[in-house]
Amino acid sequence: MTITIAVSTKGFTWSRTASIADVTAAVTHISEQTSADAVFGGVEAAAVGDGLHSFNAIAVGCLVNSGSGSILKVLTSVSGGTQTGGVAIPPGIPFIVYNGAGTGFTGGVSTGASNTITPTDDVQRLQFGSIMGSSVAQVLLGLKATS
Amino acid sequence: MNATLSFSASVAIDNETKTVGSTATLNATSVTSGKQTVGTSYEMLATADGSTQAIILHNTGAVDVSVRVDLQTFTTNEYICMLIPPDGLLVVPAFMFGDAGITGPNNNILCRAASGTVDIDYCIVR
Repeated sequence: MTITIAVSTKGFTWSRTASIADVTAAVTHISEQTSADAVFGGVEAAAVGDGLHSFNAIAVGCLVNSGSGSILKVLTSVSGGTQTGGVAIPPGIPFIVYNGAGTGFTGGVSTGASNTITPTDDVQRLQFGSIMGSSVAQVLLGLKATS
Repeated sequence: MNATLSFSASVAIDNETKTVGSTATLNATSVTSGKQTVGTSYEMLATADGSTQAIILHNTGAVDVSVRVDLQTFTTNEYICMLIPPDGLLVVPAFMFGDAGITGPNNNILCRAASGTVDIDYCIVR
């Protein structure tokens, strides 16, 4: 999967392109949030009724707020739906999440009260809702056999 | 000043390309970029002085990087960290949540490598 981000203003441009290797499957999804904390990108179909894939985790997840003016709340969660953290993103700002790929840390996200924490939780699903008004999210999930 | 943040992600599988993308126009007070070398202890990339709208990080090394964001609400400390794999890009938005329900504007952004040292390219939009 190729990811490109560019920031530009008058007289200034910053651009980087990333490449995430070995993605063997992908899911695209567009969802309108009409009730609190709709879930997508999940693997626990029986639990949440939203199974879009059957991989153990999301190797790389890219989500954008494509709504018109609302703030999108995105929660990451692991097996069983336990929340691991989240973000609030205004329109046009992307959210990217990874899982551990065997090059150091064992997971993609962690939260806690210790200032020495490192990512240990594999993100299995993304859950989103709006903070104000309804919202629309577009997502691209990259999946690996080991993810 | 206006700053434009453009994002695209794509992957081609079985001759089918899937993409997602966005563009945001931010009313910014400053845009700065640079490179920082971090070791295996968390090192500060940006502070709360002048709240950030977005921080874009690029892991240019060969090992994982952990990005720790300090969330502070009154007297309670909460931390959230996120992975950047080798050659990965990450966007740290202006507002994040912890699992204990602690929310707040991001106070400090710190990074560390899983091992050795890693160069991190960054762009900060305030």
